[in-house]
Amino acid sequence: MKEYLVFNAFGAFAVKDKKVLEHKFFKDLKNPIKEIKELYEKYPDSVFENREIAERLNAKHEFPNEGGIFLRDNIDSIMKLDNEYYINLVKEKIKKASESKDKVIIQAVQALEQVDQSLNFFFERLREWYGLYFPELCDRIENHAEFAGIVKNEERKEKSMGADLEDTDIEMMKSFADKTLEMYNFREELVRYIKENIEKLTPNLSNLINPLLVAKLISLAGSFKNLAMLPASTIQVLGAEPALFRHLRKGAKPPKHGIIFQDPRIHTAPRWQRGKIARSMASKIAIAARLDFYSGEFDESVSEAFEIRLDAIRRKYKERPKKRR
Amino acid sequence: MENIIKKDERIYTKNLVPRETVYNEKLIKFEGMEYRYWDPFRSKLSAAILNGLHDLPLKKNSKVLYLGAASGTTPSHVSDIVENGRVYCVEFSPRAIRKLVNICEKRKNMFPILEDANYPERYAHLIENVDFIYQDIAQPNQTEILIKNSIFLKGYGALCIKARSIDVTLHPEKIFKREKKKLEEHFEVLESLRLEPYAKDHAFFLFKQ
Repeated sequence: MKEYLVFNAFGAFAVKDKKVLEHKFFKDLKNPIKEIKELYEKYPDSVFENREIAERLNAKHEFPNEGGIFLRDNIDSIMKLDNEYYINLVKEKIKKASESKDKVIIQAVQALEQVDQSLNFFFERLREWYGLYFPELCDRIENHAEFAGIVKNEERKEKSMGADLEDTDIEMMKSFADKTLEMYNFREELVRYIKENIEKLTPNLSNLINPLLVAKLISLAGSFKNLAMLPASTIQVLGAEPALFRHLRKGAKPPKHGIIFQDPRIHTAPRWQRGKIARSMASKIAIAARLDFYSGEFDESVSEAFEIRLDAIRRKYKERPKKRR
Repeated sequence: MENIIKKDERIYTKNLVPRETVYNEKLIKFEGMEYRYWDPFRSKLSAAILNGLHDLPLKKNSKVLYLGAASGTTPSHVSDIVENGRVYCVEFSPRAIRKLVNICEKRKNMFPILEDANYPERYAHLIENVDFIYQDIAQPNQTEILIKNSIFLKGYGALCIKARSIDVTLHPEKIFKREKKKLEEHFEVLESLRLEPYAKDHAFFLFKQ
């Protein structure tokens, strides 16, 4: 009959022939290895269920094994279980998971996307609103931030086809312009923050593509680790999920690119080159992500290889392909 | 079914922690006891019961392994039912388990575990052998995950299949047939149900070892 050394959250048990030969409850639940070791020294032939501990002690391992099954069958007769330990264990794990840098960056990127959206709404509204008073300015100044700056700081001096409004009306518009500009400045600050942090986290990826795009890819993948484990073909269409599923379900054309379309080397390229560039870029992103995640060492050659391939595509497919009949 | 009552086509479970709600569900009094409304649109187990599940083999002292506990809506009702038993709630997402942990603090028969159900070895030391396994993990390999975890099972189980998570290109009916077949290689399938109108493209299987 084999001997088994099994443990649960609260203690270690030497089990043989459906009996507990000896047990030791853990004094420090966070550090159970001491009691496990002591028991193992007394029963050096025993088989472990837990691979991690078995490897640490160089012991035999089998999962599941008779000892573990016995313990899991008879917990109530051996001890009283309390869920407090479980709750604390989970809380510690949540804390650890939240501490990883990519989680913070993902939230920041998502905040940036929402700030961008809101800013657009605000600037558009400001134009419409101020347009009642000074429509000529709205038509003259195209840049949103510049426009808001003028609304905030300057007065209407020329003759205008806009309404002559009361001071309190104009004050309110100026105040809105001021708040919107404040949000605009915060956006710049946020972009700097994301770039700095992502460059530290992913030197290779940030060298290959815009750090903001790296952050967006990580956000779409769910985590840095997830991105490093994705195949290039998935990276190529990250962010184009509706189009991808339309393709899979209804046989529509597959998307050529997802969020990586935001890279100027794709969206400024001629249409017929974009798919090829996207495919090559996605492969290099996959390589760079793995380098960054698993080694962290900077390797210029990934970006260089991509630039060479990019050149080749541009030369070889210079002309628009003839329509196939 | 113990600790469950049906009134006016709605079902309720006997509240283990009187006067406390978990997700702002309605509380009612019945024969001097407090019961919590069990929303079939939020809980697929409730939907299965309303759609005609004949038997839910959970007793007041059952031990349950709940895979895919998420934020704890359904586990809290299971915890009501097995008032003297235990519910081991395995969930892999730190974000989702946050709410579950708060619920466990009030319900002493719920044991949260933050682990990947693909690897039962990682939490074998935290659980015991159970009378019932409930699995509702929207993953492509969800049936395989259940089978891996059946080493802890001595009794019954329920599997909730979400066709959309297994393969969007296949017809749901086809997926349900295939997954049922996989189940039948290891268990005796007692009941199969669809969860419409409460959940789209979902199937529910009750099985016995």
